[in-house]
Parts: sequence; C-alpha cells; structure tokens
Amino acid sequence: MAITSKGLQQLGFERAEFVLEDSGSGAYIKEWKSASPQPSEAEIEAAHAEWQAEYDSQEYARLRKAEYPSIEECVHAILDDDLEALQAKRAEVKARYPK
Amino acid sequence: MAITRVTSGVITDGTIANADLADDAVGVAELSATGTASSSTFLRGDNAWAAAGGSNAPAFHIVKTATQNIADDTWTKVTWDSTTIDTDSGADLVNEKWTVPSGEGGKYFVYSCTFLYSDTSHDLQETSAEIRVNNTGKLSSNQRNVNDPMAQFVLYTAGILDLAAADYIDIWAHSNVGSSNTICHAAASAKDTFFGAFKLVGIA
Repeated sequence: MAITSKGLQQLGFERAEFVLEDSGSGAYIKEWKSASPQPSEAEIEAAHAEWQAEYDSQEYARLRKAEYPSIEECVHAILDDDLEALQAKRAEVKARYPK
Repeated sequence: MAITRVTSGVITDGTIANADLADDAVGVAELSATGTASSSTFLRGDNAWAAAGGSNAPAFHIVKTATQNIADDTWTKVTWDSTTIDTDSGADLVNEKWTVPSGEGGKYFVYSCTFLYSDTSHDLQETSAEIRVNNTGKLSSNQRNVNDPMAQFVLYTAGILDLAAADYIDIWAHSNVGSSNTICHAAASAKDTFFGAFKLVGIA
C-alpha cells in the first residue's frame, strides 16, 4: 500500500486539500494545500487500512442493493397486490448475502 | 541579301521583348530553376522545383494493449504498449511519452482517447484526462456524474498545440471512484485507449 486519497480522507482531509500523482513508481503528494500538517506515509497507510476494512464490511450491502427489486418492480407489486412475493425476493437476497 | 539568321552576339543584352517570342516557345529545360522538374513537382515563386503539398510528419499513434490500475483521486500517467505509427521515432514506451524530434517544432494536432471503468460495478463518479507538455497540462476533458455513479467513462481530448523541439507530451488520467481503483481499459484490438499527433503544415 502507499499514499492514497482514501487514507487521507479517512484522516479527515478533503479532496481539495491535496493533489496526488503517480508517474509510474507509486503515488506521491504533488501538492499539499491544507492548513493542517501533512501526515506521514505510515499514518496515511494505517488510515487507508481502516477505510478498507469499513468498505469491505459493507460488501454485503452493495451486493444486496444490486439485486434488490427495482423501484418499478415495487410499484408493480403494490398495484398488483403482490407484496408477499416482493418480500420473499428481498428475503432471498438478504439470505444470500448475510451481514 | 536578306538577313535570315541573327547570332546572339549581335543582340544587345536585355533587349528581347515579349513580342519577339512566339507563344509556347520557352520549354521547361530553358528555365534556370533549381531542383528537378517532373510530373510530381511544381515551380515555386523562389524559382525552385518542389514536391506538391507538404508532409504531416512527424506523426505517431500509440496504443494501449494492457490494462492499468488508476488509483482513486490520483493523477496517473497513462502507460503505453506499442506504436502503430511513429515516423520519426519520437515514442518512448519506457517513459510513456513522445518527444518532438530535433528541428521539428511547430503546430501539432494532438489527440487522446482514454477509456476508464470502475473495478466494482457502477461507482465511478468523475474522470479526467489531460494532455501534458513537459508535465504541464495543456488540453483536458472531464466527465462527472457524482449523484449517479457509472460503470465507465470515455474521455476524448484533442486540440492544436505549439510544440518546440525536445518538448515531450504524455497523457495523465484521474478518477474519483467509490472503491480504490479505476481500470484504464485496453482492448486486445487496441482501439479503446490511444494517443497520437501529427504536424500541421502551412501554419506558422
């Protein structure tokens, strides 16, 4: 791992406070615009690991969201009085991608 | 006895008028122009035979055949794998750039196409591509869809640049993505991500 935008954002910095660049040998901070001191590479790497763990922990949610019934399907289920089938589909997706 | 022939020695220099010459009397061989007259040359105003038109060399077209990870929110130099045209050997595939050959400064039409897609589905929010000259951005394109992230963006960037000999140009890409990486795409056909330029003739 190296310097990453996710790591810097995890430390509380906004994207506008820095510019990262990679000319082929790994990312580096090209411009530091924040009024706060620039963190060390180790601090950025540790923060990125935290962000990655949080991101990975939400994998089930992303997978569920991609397979849940669409809004159009929900509207049809309401109009067709077919909510039980809709709930069954949601339950099946939840079971397939547990927390 | 009537005079039927006059030798050049009795003609005063600079006295033959247009009326003294028959139409179509002067052939190409009588001209003092430099160069060689032929079916592919014409006579320029400086009295030289020259080839018609002009050359658009140097010209090059470089393609990407291997995918490349672009880290989130990081301006990254795009890498290249092969050249399909490189008239003056200006391409440097080790340092991912093209350098204007010696004596070839001038106006160039420069273009690039950068195909970016997210490494997970539909979380690409914004992408940019930049044509840089000596590591300074000169031409750029941007696509943004923050509220409804997408799977892929294609950035076409083009324009005319005034380049000097030894100037180098390269392509940089940037993306904001929900996950860690964006992929700079390279199809086996090498037609998705490419970069090129050619010199413009007749423009000072």
